[in-house]
Amino acid sequence: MSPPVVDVDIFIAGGGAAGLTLASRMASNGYRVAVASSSIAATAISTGRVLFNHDDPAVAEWASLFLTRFRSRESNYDLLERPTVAMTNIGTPLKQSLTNSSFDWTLEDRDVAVVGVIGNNDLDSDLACLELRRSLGICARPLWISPFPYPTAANNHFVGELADILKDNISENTIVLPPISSDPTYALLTKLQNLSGKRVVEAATPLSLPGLRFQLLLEDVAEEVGVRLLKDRRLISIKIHGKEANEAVLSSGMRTIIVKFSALVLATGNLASGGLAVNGRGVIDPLNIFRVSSTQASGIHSSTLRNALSSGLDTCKGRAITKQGVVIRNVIPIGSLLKGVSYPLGYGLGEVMLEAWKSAPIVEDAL
Amino acid sequence: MPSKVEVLVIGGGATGTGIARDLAMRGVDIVLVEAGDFATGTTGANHGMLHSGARYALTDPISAKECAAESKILKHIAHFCIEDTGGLFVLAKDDNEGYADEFLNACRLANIDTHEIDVDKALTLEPGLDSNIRAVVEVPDASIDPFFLTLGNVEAARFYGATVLNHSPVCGIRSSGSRFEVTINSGKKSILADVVVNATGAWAGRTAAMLGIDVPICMDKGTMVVFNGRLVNRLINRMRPPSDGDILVPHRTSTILGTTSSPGSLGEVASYSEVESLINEAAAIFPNIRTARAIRSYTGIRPLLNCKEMGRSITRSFQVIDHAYDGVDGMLSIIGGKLTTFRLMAEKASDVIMKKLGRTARCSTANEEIILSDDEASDIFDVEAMRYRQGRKINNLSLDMACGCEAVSSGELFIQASSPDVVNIDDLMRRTRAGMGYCQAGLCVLNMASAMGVGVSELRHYMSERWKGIEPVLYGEQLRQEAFKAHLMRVYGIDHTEPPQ
Amino acid sequence: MMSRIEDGCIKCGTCQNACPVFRIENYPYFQGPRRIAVEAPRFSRELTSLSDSPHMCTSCALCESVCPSRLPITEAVLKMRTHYGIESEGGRRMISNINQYGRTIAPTSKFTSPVSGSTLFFPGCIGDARVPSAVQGAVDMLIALGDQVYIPNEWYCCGSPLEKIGAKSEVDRLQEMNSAILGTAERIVTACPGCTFQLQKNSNVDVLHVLEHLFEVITPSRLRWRSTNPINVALHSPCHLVRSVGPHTMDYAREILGSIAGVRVIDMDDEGCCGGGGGVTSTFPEMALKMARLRVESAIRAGAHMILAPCPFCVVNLRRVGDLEVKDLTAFLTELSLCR
Repeated sequence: MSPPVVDVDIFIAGGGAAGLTLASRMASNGYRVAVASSSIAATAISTGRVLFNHDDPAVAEWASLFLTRFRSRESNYDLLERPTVAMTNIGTPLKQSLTNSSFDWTLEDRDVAVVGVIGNNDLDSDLACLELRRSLGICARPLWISPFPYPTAANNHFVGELADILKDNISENTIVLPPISSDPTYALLTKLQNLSGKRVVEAATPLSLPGLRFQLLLEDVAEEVGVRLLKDRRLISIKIHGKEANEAVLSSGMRTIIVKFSALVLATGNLASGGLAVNGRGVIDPLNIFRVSSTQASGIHSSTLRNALSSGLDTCKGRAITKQGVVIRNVIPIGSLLKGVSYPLGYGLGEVMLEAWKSAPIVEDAL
Repeated sequence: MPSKVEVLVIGGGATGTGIARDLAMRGVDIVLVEAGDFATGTTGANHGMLHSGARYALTDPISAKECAAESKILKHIAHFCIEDTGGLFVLAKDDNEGYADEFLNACRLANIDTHEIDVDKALTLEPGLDSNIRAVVEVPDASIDPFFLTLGNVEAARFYGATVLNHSPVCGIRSSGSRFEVTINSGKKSILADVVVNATGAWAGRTAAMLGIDVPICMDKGTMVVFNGRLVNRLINRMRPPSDGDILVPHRTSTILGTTSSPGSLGEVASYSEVESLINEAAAIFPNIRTARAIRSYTGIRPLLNCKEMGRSITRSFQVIDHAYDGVDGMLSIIGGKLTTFRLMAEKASDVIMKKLGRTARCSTANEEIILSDDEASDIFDVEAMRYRQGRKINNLSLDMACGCEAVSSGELFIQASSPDVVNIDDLMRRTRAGMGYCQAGLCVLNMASAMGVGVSELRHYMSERWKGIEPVLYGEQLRQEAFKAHLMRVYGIDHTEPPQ
Repeated sequence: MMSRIEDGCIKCGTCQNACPVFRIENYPYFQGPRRIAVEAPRFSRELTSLSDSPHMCTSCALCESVCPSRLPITEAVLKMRTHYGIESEGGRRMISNINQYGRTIAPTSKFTSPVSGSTLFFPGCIGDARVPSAVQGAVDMLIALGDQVYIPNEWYCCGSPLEKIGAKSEVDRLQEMNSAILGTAERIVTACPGCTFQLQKNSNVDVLHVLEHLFEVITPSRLRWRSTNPINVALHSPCHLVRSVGPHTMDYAREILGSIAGVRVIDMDDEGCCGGGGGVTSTFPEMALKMARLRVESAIRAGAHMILAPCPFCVVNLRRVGDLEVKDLTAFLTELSLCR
């Protein structure tokens, strides 16, 4: 029996911040778009914080598609007008690093309580307050609350209980919480804020919930604008004829699926998310098709690690190049799969999304 | 007012702490001072091997006999930090076959319990061995944890009344009359002692120089590579004249490959090429080592007295130098030796010290367990892991996972962090193994910082120190791990590869 | 000896966070997939105390589907089980039944079906003994759709549950016993994800889950059902169907149900493993029930009148809760009126 065929204009392999950003843009422009993803996207284990360069006009374009849709899901994400401008929700304080002074805690409020939940290792309130005192001179108070059924009680009842605790026991105006509950619902914190009457921010720790919530938001928006999500389906191979790719083979459990497309976007991520692989000290394309190289980069002291982190797919006018040096006119790599250091896990989601947004004309050109 | 003691031991490695335990058990009034933390010199950079003596049977029969006797004693008194895995000597395909008979003969002479086993049987016991090996001899080698051994000595010495101080660097030694005045902690404190013991290993030359004594130390550097998980069930030795990359030691959650031998100096780190050459050598008996995941490297300095015979040719037995011959009566330096024979060394040195003190109590270190170990198993994995590390379990601790790789609970971290001996994250790591697993403290470092109540700058310092051992093994899965860690650390504004400031 | 599973982990914790057992059983009683599959095998003497954890895994494979290193975590968990060699009561019963009947459960059902044809319908032990309506329903429906479907007189367990308890020799023996029976079919169809996966591994012909057969072979245009009464159904995603056979199967299920007038598929706010797999229903029945209850409560919250599951293991375990009707998806379809 021959495998089922999915026929689209644009096929995007990789459903993280980059893939979903571009997919949503193209789908809202009327193209038929499918996104395949397998395993967790690095976006989902990131801090979920987005740092934008507001001088970039693409920010407003991006926001016009995503932000209203985020808000309609009670997620309270907003664009903030600050020197280091960020987009955040109440689920992420501006800076993950509590030592980073560019988040101005003093502007917000000096009355800060950092809440630790016993049994939740994501935020040590003693340590957070120590850092705030030492590096920023903020008088933050650590407060520990005892474990109610945590972290397994992921429902509205749990939010109500937590809100009561915050309302009754904590007088400060701003409350910093560790990422709470195992429920990735992004409306949870809005609810908590409304119920407790406090301004609640959630510490942005990586490998935790804020990233997962952001990922789910992006997926929901993508589906809303008509992107077809093929989850748990992994790209196995790409069929290339001459200077053009025309088919991709995906695995779906024990079966395979064929995807036919006019343009293929590769957004499978870097070493952390499996878009790239390691071979000895070198970094390679796990599909063994495309050329990988590294760029001059800074930001990390070790040259071996810097080289690995800045490795990625080589491109010519935005198009991928095979190991044999052939430029494939309709294969466009985006996101952290590209060469150059980016830290989508901890820092660079904004950059990754904006660059993905801006690659739309290249994709249209390839169609 | 300076405090007054009979003996001051300088150096908190296995030798120094062994002497402290020995003398304290004999009722001597003693203080030990260690500049950094216990077991951070040559002791901590040990291969983790409790020698049956077989390795020295041909080249150094005296050491072989000592090891044979001492390893039996340690299996009794230090079983809390020893895993009696047994060992194999394996003749590689292209190695000299004649060596096997010589080797067996020499083992017999040194009184080491050895016997030859079938190659096929060996391949069932150790499926990772090269199938072309030609002869296998079983020996009573074992795996030993030098950190917990040393910490056990410290605990025992304190139990018997010794004062044992870490983070107390000696800044001056003065001979005044029949006594010595030793100042520590930048002159903040001084101690008067009748006898001073220089047990500073690779630093012995520097220590002796404080009294104008010349102890010419030569440094022989040995590099080891730590692999994730247990590649072998027992120690694997290559049956040939001692050489590089001969030994694989299953050590707790890892396997340690060693070692090199070349002239070196203090503070040196391993290089990628050393790691490569160790792997190439070991592949002759254990081919899978090429694809195994190396998680870090480390180097140790063997301090040697006789510079003309550097490296492996020199005896690795020890010397007790009485500086009376240099005109400084009451000062001793202990040089050389092996972890396996540390107790014997401590006994010999202590005998000399007792003579100097004019006292007669005998050594009893071979008859008593270093710490009373708890042999009652728990049915909780994390508690069992603690029992095998610490030699005992503590009930009612918080069992939240703090370090997944090594199964360290937050309760264990907090208990250890509350010790006055623990002043930084490294100290905590050595007492719990948190941070020693395959992610190399990628996540548990935050929990360790929490337990210590220290912030980002201490965390950064710890990561930087840790990095020195990781850089040489940056290939394969560990390279991916470190790329992932770079992302994580970015969140806290840390470049974990930056040199310490 | 090390395998890649222990070496490939970069400690992202995704598996631990995803594990459905971890949501109801706390650490350290349950140690989680990373500890069982990746961290623990690196230890030696400590392993005697890992106790129940490996046996609490429902083999839902969610851990490995989210793993960025794509480590075969489930397989490693099963390997740990065999390391302990603890034979559960359920396991012993299963092997004794295999010796006696060639099935994990004593055969009970008699199906009304042709005994020869081109499409072999493989009932599977659980389907045969516990959810016979799913088997009969599937056969009736396929016949009504004009398929040359049959159930052979003799058939034996596919081997899948035995692989889960590490009984390798039984798996091989059963494969041998089944080979002549299955070898003559042009195509094999089952209503059990475990049978589909296990039989396909050793078969040259297509072994399809009934959803795949309906959607890919019979094609949706021929499938026109109607429900006489409007009904809200919650569609449960069986782990072994989604992750072993493939996620496309649930797309098919949704599409088929979505096209039926009167049937509304409602979204549950909480999806996941029902606890019916990995043998935990016999080793940790209370835990399996707790997990099933979470699913059922979620369906009730969403306003479902019924839960549909395209897997007999899920149907059996979800039914134990008792608060909501649970039906095999195929049986449900058969009961609707088919418009041709």
